Amino acid sequence: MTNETPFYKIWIDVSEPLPSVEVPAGHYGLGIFLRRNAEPIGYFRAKAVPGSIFTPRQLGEIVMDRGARDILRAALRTPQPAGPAERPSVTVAICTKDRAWSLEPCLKSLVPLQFPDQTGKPQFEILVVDNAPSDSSTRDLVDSQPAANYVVEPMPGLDFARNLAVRQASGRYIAFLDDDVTVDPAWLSGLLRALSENPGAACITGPVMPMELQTRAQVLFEERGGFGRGFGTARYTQHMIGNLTHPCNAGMFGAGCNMVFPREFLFRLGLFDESLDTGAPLPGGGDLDIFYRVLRADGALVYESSMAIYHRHRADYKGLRKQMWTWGLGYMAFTMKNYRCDPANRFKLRWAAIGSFLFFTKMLAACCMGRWKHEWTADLAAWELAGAIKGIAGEYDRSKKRTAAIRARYAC
Amino acid sequence: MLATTPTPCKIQLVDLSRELSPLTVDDPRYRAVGMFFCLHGVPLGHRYLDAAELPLSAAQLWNVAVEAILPALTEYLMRDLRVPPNEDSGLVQRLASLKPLEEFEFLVQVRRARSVSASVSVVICTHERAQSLETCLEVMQKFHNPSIEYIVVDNAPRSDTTRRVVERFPHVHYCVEPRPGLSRARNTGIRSARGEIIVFTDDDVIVTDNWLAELTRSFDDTRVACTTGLVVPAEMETREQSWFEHWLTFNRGYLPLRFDRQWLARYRSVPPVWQIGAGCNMAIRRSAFETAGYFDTRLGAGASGCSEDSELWYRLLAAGHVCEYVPAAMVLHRHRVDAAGLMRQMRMYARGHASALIVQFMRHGGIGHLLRLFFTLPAQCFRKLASSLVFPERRPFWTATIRGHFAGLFYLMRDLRDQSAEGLREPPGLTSIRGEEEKRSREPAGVLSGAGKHVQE
Repeated sequence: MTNETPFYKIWIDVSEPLPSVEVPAGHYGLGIFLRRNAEPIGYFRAKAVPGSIFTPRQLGEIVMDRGARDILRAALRTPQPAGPAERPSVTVAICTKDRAWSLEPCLKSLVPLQFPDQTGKPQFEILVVDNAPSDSSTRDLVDSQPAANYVVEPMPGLDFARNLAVRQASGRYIAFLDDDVTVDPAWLSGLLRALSENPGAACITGPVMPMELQTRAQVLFEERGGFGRGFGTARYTQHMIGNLTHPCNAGMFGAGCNMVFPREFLFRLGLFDESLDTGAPLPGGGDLDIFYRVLRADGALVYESSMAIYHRHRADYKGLRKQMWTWGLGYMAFTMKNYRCDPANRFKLRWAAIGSFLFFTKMLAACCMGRWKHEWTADLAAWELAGAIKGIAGEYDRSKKRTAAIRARYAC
Repeated sequence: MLATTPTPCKIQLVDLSRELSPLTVDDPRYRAVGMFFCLHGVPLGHRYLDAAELPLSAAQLWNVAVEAILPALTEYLMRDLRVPPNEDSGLVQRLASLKPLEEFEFLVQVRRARSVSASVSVVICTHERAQSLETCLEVMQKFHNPSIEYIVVDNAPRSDTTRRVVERFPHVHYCVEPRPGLSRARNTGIRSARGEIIVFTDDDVIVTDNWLAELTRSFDDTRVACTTGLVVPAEMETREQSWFEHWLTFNRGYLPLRFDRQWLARYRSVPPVWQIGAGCNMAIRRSAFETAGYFDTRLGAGASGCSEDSELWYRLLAAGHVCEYVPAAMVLHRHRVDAAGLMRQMRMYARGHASALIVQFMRHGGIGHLLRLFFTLPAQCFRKLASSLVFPERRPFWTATIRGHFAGLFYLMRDLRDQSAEGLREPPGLTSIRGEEEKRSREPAGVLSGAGKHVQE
């Protein structure tokens, strides 16, 4: 097993003639990003032989085969309302911990959106929350930016940092980005479109595409589905006909690295659960939990396909293993938490958990026999199942105790 | 498969070629709304929404509609786009430059320009459901075309209510088939009809504007012997109607399909002929009956229960004819409202399907029929029955299905014993029906004079 199976990324504007593409040596596939009128409209991968050349016609066949729906959807969607409608104030919050090298491209991608013309005032506020920093590198980076605010959250834990951001932000809406993403140039206009179409939305999420497809781990992660939820626009509420466990499969609504809320709604919900997304032992589940609670509080969650970002997946295989462990663990911790806190919905949560265990087991068995529908390995499936088992075995309670200890330590 | 729609659910046809208005449900009784999206009269997709998800603004409704119609619309436009262009990257660019709605309208108009010059008869078989028949005829009268012959076949009437209803519609002819059985009634309808194309529908359907024109249009291709159309629910007031629609739907999708001998050959042992359409919305060329035979009188409602239509499609395909599924020919069907009616229907459907499998096996061979009969279907039923451990109120539905299935295994034996079947090995009724035809005089003789003219658009 080689660790390096990079895919070659290409961007295609569907309204222009297709290029001819040569797959560079050492690249085993294409990651094709479709755009139209400067908006992202689709993304998919295709296997390819290193060194081979795709003529425009061959490329066209692939695009027609995989992306025809995306192209038509972009043509069908109503054009964005022109003219400066009343702009809601937005704060973009980025929670980070000792990763200035990763935060830098993220901030760099935001600046052109913040200052679309050289002179004007910033379109939104940037708030960097430095979570229990061990040096001043993040502070130095933020200070070098034209307009970014910096706050420190000493208590370690992503949701401590997120909650501080909600309290410190000034905008009516707060957008959460992770420090390992860059935003698409059309991200802000996508957000504004979603807000104008859905004035009452309680949460807005969007597509997360891969920033890099450099290693086998990154490609595998995309094969498992990654953070991708397609390019269809959807509006979710707590009711969905045809899905018996809705809204317990909270992973389908989006991902925590690209989500926007009205601040006032978060206060009403009681902010993020600090016992989830705590870092090392339980580094997940916080986004699932907030999506679930938004829907259960009768909020509408909108998935807006043009509000896209790019996420840098973990490059090494060990990191991917940890990611899968985290997925299983975080999902089950989230389920257990809400099984306790939301007794009215226990029937659905129970069946969602049973269904997930069946799915994880089926995936593991199929991977062992080499018959899973996607490229995936048995050890990754096993890690996900193991995480799920640990998650359901009281991980949320343990995490709650740990969080209480952190709070006590910083209270005095 | 387990999920259903909360009821009562309001069924709406949404015309996307008009400006959309915001979606609200005025009647607080409704717990859900089912929207069937049409573009220029062609259905393209549907979506059920919970009443708590409403109201939706026009922009939000449009987003919902786009996701619902996208698969079918893409397929329609791509089929047309497959023509290889001269330039290299033309396809993608052309697709991206399309105005999908305008392009689709153009496609629809191209299809509507095709005209069929064949006479059409509409045959409606009914049995003691005067009220339902009245609604059906009233709606049909709205789209009435004087060149089309309408025939109501009253099957084994116990009273004269049906006749009195039909008398109120001067352009509809009435005839009686005293022996019970939908197949017999349909065969009588064929004999009474003058048209080259015979359209069959039931007394519990509500037809739509373009239905007849769309259903008969494909017959300009002489190989096409049968067309079927889309059947969507007319209402979803009760739990039982929603169960039927979700677990045993008549909806075969929103894309036109073509079934021919190659399709039949692809499924060597048991071709899923029941996927071709539904008997309450089909048209058959009269000459095809001469080669493939009439409806098998052992099958169908009033006899085994159902599947007389799919068994005929099998024979049509085996004889080299082509069947087409045309979703644009849409009708609305009123599913059984009450539990007793639905359970009886499920028993009948399962029994009819099982006996049709036996008949098909005896006529065409194919060991797959027996596998389906003895393994696949029972296993499926018991798996479904297991789901009623979680949803106990659904148990009667699946037990009725299982009971019907096992009754079907023995149904034909009874039929063999009392020797009432009209021939088991040859296509049923071919000789006997023709022999009878001379003897029988059509019921209201004079009134048919207006029929048999050409349909032209």
